[in-house]
Amino acid sequence: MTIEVTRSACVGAGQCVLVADDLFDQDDDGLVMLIEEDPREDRVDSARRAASLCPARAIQVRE
Amino acid sequence: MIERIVVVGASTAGLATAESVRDAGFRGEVVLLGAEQWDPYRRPALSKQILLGTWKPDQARLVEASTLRALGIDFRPGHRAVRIDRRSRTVQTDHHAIGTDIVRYDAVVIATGASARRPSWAPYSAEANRPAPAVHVLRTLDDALRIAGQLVRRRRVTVVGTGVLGSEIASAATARGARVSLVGRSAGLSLGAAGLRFSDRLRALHAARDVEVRTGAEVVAVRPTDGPRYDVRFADGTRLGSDVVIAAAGAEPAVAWLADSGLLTDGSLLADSHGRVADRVFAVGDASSWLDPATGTHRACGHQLTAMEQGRSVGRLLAAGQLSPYPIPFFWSEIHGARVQASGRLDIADSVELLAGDHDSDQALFGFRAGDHACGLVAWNMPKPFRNHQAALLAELSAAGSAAHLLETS
Ligand SMILES: Cc1cc2nc3c(=O)[nH]c(=O)nc-3n(C[C@H](O)[C@H](O)[C@H](O)COP(=O)(O)OP(=O)(O)OC[C@H]3O[C@@H](n4cnc5c(N)ncnc54)[C@H](O)[C@@H]3O)c2cc1C
Ligand code: SF4
Repeated sequence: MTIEVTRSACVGAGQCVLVADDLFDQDDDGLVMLIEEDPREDRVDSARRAASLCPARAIQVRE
Repeated sequence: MIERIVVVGASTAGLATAESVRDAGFRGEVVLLGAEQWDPYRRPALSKQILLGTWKPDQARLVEASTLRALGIDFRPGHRAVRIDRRSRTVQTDHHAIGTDIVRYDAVVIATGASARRPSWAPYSAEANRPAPAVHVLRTLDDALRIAGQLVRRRRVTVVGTGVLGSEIASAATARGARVSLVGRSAGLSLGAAGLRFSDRLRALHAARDVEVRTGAEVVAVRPTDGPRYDVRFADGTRLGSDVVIAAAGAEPAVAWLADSGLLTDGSLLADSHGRVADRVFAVGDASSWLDPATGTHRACGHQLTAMEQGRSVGRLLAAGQLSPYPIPFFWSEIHGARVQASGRLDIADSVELLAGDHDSDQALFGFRAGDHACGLVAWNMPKPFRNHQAALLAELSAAGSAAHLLETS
């Protein structure tokens, strides 16, 4: 599974960091930074949850 | 048994419903009807990346048609629902191919969103023999591409409407090099449910980019002229020459197609706190108003995240019979590069305090309170403090919300 983020769509709401701070971080402008684009199996649910909570739909999780 | 779910409206709310129905394990048929020809796209990008010209239409796409097919979602673009018949449980569309004009449902989810309000002074076409005053509105990708094509350097652009959308359009037009006036009837510039509380901040942002702001100025007509293309006329008799006129006068739920359905209450599509409207009928997103358990009033959606959360809430309810908590409002905006984030029930606040940053700086975080309780947050260029405070706010609101929820269901 891989995670992709569309930084130009990110609105810096930080929902992703709240649910998975081992996968996502925010830079000084609040824009998402991907820490782990190929997460372990047991982080898949967290990645999905982050994607579903992102208000800008800036996170894609692909099989 | 529900074997076939029909979702009417293929944008944020409708897509979230269809996806979450599958996510929650529904095995039956899912049909997603969309009036537009485009794949579902990010509407908030229209007044930002698309008007600015930094994104091509493709980049606004929310999901590929092939992904929807893989999820077993029968997406039908270009199918506008025109009627619902609750007795025969069918939705009629304007598509005339045999077999696709009548769609049967076991449960139907109405997600038709909203349409831009066209003020009376901005008709589609003028009287006979007169060229139509081309007053633009902005709601769809087609609208945005049409406007983007008009935002040329040095053109005089008048944006009518002093809400968030008006400010965003003025900001994008300025960035494209146009000379912009932002005008409206109200006494100040508003920021969604926060009302006029941040009018001075918004004025300062516009002033720094030479946007001319005229408030308390009611437009009564737009007429073609020989010089600049149009004359915007105000109630006090003054005029403003403009090459491009854009009305940002709010949006109306797109529910006219339900007029004879018996589902509307005084023209509105009202749902309970879980999106239920009537037997087998649900509603999500900007088309509907959900009952807010905390205030006991119906609240319009108006924001992308709320539309998504409502879609997921109904999706889980339909697929798994599971009730979800009422979605707390959240929205964001981007105006002349300033990033605004707002969360909670800003409209019920009776006081506002500065939590971080500075009143006079471009960075500030405000806490909204109703009586003894925190009810909302607004951040200007402070994404990380917003995130931390929002976590605390949501915990407080959901504790209060579940109490209200218990009251409601007991
Ligand atoms: C320019 C603009 C900028 C915005 N910016 C922000 C922002 O920064 N932040 C934020 O939180 N929110 C923003 N919003 C609001 C946000 O986009 C909406 O709240 C959200 O799109 C609502 O989703 P929805 O699916 O309910 O409705 P819509 O997005 O309006 O979608 C409804 C869909 O249903 C289709 N439809 C309509 N009638 C029918 C019919 N009879 N049959 C079939 N299909 C039909 C329409 O074609 C449309 O595709 C913005 C809105 C606009 C217009
Ligand atoms: S949740 Fe979405 S919008 Fe918010 S910081 Fe993460 S990627 Fe950006």
